[in-house]
Amino acid sequence: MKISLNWLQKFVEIPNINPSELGQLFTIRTAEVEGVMNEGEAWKYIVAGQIKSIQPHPNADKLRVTQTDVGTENGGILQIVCGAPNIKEDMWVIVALPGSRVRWHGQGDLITLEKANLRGVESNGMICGGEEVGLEMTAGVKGVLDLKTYSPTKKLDIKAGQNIGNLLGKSDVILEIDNKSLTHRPDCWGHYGIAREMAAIFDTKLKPYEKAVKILKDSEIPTHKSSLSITVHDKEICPRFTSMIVKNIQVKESPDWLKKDLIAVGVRPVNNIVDVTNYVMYELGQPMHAYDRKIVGTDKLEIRYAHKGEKLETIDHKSHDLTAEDPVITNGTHVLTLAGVMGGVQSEINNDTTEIILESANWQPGIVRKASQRHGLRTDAVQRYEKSLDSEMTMPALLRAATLIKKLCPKAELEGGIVDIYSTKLPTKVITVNPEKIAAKIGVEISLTDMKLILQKLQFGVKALSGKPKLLEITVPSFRATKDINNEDDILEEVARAHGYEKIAPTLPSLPINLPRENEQRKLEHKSRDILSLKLGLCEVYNYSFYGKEDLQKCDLPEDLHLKLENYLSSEQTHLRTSLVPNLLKNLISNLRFKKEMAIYEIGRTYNEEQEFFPREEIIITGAIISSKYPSAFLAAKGIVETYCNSLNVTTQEWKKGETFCPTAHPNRYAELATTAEDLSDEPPFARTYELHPEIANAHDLPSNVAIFEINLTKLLKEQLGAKDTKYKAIPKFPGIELDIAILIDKKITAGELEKAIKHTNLQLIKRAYLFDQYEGDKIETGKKSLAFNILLQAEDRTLTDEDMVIAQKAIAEKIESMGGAIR
Amino acid sequence: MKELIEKLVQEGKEEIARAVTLAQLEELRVKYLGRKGSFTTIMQGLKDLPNEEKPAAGQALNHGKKTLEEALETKQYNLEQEELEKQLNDDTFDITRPGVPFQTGHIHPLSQVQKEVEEIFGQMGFAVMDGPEIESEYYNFESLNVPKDHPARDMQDTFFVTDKQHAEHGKMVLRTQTSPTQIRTMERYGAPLRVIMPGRVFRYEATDASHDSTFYQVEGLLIDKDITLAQLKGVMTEFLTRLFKKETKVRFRPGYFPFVEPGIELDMWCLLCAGTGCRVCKHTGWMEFMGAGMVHRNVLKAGGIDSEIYKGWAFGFGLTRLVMMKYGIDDIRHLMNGDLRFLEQF
Repeated sequence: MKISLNWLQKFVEIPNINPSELGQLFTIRTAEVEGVMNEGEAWKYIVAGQIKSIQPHPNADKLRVTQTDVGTENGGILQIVCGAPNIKEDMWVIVALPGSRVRWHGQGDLITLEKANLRGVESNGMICGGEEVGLEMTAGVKGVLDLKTYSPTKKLDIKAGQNIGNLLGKSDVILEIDNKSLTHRPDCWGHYGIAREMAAIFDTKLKPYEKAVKILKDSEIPTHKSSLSITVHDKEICPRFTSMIVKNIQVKESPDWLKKDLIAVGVRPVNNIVDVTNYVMYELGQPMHAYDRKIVGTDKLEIRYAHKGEKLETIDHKSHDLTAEDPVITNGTHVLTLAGVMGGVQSEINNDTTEIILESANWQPGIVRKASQRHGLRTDAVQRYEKSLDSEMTMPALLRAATLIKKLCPKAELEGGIVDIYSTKLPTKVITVNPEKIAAKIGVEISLTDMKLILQKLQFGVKALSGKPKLLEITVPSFRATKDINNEDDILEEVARAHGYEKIAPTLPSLPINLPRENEQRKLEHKSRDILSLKLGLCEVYNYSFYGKEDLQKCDLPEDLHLKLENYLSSEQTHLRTSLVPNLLKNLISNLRFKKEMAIYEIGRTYNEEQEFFPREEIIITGAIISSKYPSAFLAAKGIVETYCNSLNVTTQEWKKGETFCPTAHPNRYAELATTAEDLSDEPPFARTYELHPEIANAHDLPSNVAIFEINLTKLLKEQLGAKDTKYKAIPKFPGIELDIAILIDKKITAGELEKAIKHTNLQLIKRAYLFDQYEGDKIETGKKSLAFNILLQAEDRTLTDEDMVIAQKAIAEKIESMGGAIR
Repeated sequence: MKELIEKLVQEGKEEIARAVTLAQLEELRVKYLGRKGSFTTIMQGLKDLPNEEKPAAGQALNHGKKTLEEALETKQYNLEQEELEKQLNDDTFDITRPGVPFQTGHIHPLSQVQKEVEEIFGQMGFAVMDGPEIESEYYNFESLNVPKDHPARDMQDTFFVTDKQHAEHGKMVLRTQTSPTQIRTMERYGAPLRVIMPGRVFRYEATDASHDSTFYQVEGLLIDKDITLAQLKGVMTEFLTRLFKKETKVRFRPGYFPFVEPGIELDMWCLLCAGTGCRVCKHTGWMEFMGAGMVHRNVLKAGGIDSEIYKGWAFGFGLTRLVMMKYGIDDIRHLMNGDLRFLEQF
C-alpha cells in the first residue's frame, strides 16, 4: 500500500527527517516499509525539453540524432541520441540529463545516467518514456512520452529546462508499506491510521479526523427521514450498514488535486463519484460503494445470502453464478453487488447518473473472504474487510464522502437523513495486565509510568489498579478491538515495539543441565553422506518429492499406489513419489550430456498411503550408477552397499536373488540384502541392488549399464542397526599362502556357490576365496564359463608348508570335479 | 728413487686435477696404479736396490701410491657429484602437468549447511526434531492459530492431496512450513523444550530464480518458565556469528505471524557491507532473515502446554536462502535439479 507523506501531514505533524530514515523508523516500530520514493530526489536532473531537429544516425538504422533544447541553465541545445520511433520535431519531452537516475525501459534497478557515445555519436542525455522515470500512469504508452498529451493535470505551461517534478507537482514522499505486515492491523489500511502510528512514533499530536478534514455537520443533514429502507435478512453478514441518497450530482472528471492525490497512491482516476469513494477509502481505510439510484429502481435494499441460481455481472464484466454462501445486496428482485467484494456492472455509476445511493458498510470478514476466493475477486475492499474493520468508521466515512461530493458537485443535495443499521456493536474491550510480567518477558526494564505513556500514545485507555502486584486496566480503542488486541501478550507487543525493539540487549539463555537428546535419524543421514560421498566418491543430489504420470509410467510404477496432488504446478509434478528412481533417472539423462560415467545418490522420503490418515513416510537412500570402469555397474552398486554396511558395522545375511516387487529392476539382475536381525516373512529387506530393467532403460534412452541401489534408512534405524562399534581383530602372526586357480564349469553354477564350496573344503585354513575374473565366450566350450579365484590359506598358529598347500589344492580340485568342473 | 717417486706423484696429482671425465680418471688410475702402471714398474725396480735403501724406498713408494689413490678418490667423488648435478639439472620433468583426478564425492550444499546449523544449535543445547512432510490442515494451520478463512493462509500457498480428508484433521496437505513439527514435538515431549526442526517444505507458487515449490526451513523453539525476547536476540546473534564466522548483529522489528504474539521480523547485518548500506541490502544495512516471536498461547494450548506456567519463543528461517547467501548462489533452481556441474563445486 502506498502512503503519501503530504496526505499524512494533514493529520499529524511529522518532523523534518530524511525520508529513508522515516521509512526505517516506521519499519522498526510498526510495519515494513518496502520502499521510499522521494520525488524531489527522484526528479533531480530530469527536465522538460523540446526537440528542435532530428537527423538520421550515421551508423545505426534504429537510432536518430536530435538537437533538443533543455534550457540555457542546462546547456541550451544538446545533442541527444534517441531510439524511440515516435519522436517528432517541436515535441515536448522528458529529458534525463547526466547524473539523473533512470530505469531502462522501466525495468531493473535505477542507474545513474552518464554522457555516452552511441555508435560514434555523442549523446548528452536521454529522452525518456514515462516508465523510465517512474510515471506509473503512463504504462502502456509506447516510446517516449509527449508531455503535451500527458495529463493528470492538463494545462501544462512547459518551459525548456523546467524540472519535471516541479512541472507535474511531484514533491511528495511516497512510502510503500508491505501489505503482508499489515495483516493483523485493520486500522492501518488508510492514511489516518498510519498517521495515528506516526503520532505515537514521534510523540506528536494527532488531529481528530473531524477537525482535520471538512465533514458534514449535523446541522447540514436534513432532518426528514430518507426514503431509503434497508432490510438485513441475515444479520451475521453485515455488522453495520450506513447509507444515504445524494441527488443532483453531475458525473465528470475529478479536479486536479483529487486526481493527483489518487495517482500519488497508485489509484487510477475514473470519475468524480468513484474517485471520492476511493479517496475516502485511502484516507480512512473504509471501503465505500455508490449505486445509480435510478437504475436500482427502488429505495428498498435487501441484504441477504444469495439464492442458488442467482447471477451477477461484476464491474470487471465477469459473470458469476452465486451460491447460498455469497453475501449480496439486492433491490428486491435482482442482485446489485457481491457485498464487500465488488459491485455489479448494471448499477454502476455512469456519465448520466444524477442520483446515487452511497454505501458505507462493514461486512463480516470470513464471509467476504470466502466469497472473494470463490469468485476469484481480490479487490481493495476485500483486502480491508477480511482484516476485520472497525464498524465505528462507517459514519465518518459516509459524512466525509458526502462532503466531498458536495464540494465537487455544488448542486448536490442530500435526499434525506442517514440510514444506519448497526446490527452488531462490539462491547468495549478491557484487558487487565501485569506490567512487571510484560517487562520480564521482553527482557528490558520499563517503568510503570513509561508503560502507561506508551499505551496512552497508542490511544489505549490506561487505569492503574490498586493492590499487589500492580496491575493495569487497559481499555482497547474500537479500531484495535476487532481482532488484533485480545490479551496481555498483545499488549506486550504494543509496549515492546513502541518502547523500541532495538533497546533489547541480547542475552543467552543458560544451558540446561539435561543435555539434548540425540536425533539418531539425522546422525545416520549425515553419516551415510560421509560414507557415500566422502568415502566412496558418490555425488549427492536433491530432487523434488513429486513426479508426473508420464515419469511413473516410464518406470512401470503402479499409478494407483500414489498420492496425487489436487493442485499442481506442472504435469511433471502431479504424483507424490513412492520411489526415488524416476527422478534419479532424469538426473542421469540430463548429466549424460556432459559426462559418461557417474555415481549419484539421494537421501529422501517416499510417501505411501496407509489405512490411517497420515501416509507412511520412509527415508530411502537411492543411488544410480552408470559406469564402464567396473566389470558391471551392478557389481559396483553391490560393492557400495557392502562397503556401506561394513562402515556402519551392519551385520547382514547373504545376498539373495531379489523377489520383492520392484518394477524398475531387471528380473534376473536383482539382489536383496537383509540384516541378521531382519525377519523376512513379508516386508522387503532393508537393501537391494539391481540393474535397470532393459525396457525401462530403453524408455529413458539410457545405456544398459545402469545400476541402482536402495537402502531403507527408516528400517535400518528401526532395527537399531549400525550402532555397533568396530571391534579390533588381531593381525595374523604367521604368513599365509596365496594361490590363483582357474575353474572351467557349467554356466549355471554361480560364483557364490563355488566360493562357498571352495571355502568348505577347509574352513580353518581358507581365509578368502575371491572371484577376480570371469570369462564366457568362444574360446571355451559352449555352456561353460571360466572363473578365476584368488585363494588365501593361513593358519593362526604356524607358518604353512608346501605340503599344506598341496593338500588344500587337491581337496579343492576334488570338490570342483565333483561339481562337474575342472581346474584349468 | 725417492726423487723419482716424488716426481711421479707430482705428475700424477697434476694429471688427476686436469681430468674432466670419469673415463679420463679411470685411464689415469690404470696408468699409475694399474697392473702395468708406473708404480708397478717402480715396485719391480725395488728389488734391485741395496738392502739398506729398501725400507725407505718401500715406504716412499707406499706413501706415494696412497697419495695418488686419495687424489683419485676425491676427484672421482667430485666428478660423480658434478655428473649427478648435471643430470638433475638437465632433467625436463614437467611439474605443471595436471594432478591425477581421483574420484571424489560431493555432499549437497543444503546437507552441508544443515549439518553446520544443527551443530551450532546443538552446542547451545538445542536438540534436532523431525516431523512428517505430508501434514494435515490441522497441524499445518489450525493448531498454529491459523483458522480457516484467516487471511494468513494466503501468505502460504498450499499443495493439497487429492481425496484425502479427515473429520478432525481436515485436508491432507504438503506442509508449507516446518512449524507443524512444533506442535508434534510439544505433544510428544511436553515442556521444557529446546529444539530446532530443519526440514523440507512446499509452496504452491510459480518457480523462478528466487522461488521454488520445494525448499528447506529451520524452525526453532524454546519453551521454559523464564523466557525473554532478549534471549532470542542473543541466540540468533550467536548463531549467525558462528555460521558466518564474523561478527554479526541482528535487529527486531514488528512482524505478523499468527502463531506468535508478539510477532517479530528479525533482520541481520548485511553480509556484504556489515551495516553501512549497499545495493544488496537496498542501502538499509540490514537483510531480512527470519520471522520469530513469543509462541502464541493458542499454539501452546494446542501442544498441550500450560501457558500460565510456560512461555516460549520460536523462530523460522529459510535454510535454502541461507545456503544461497553463504555460497552466493543466484538461482534457487540449481539446488533441486541434480546438475553435477553445479553439485561438484561443493
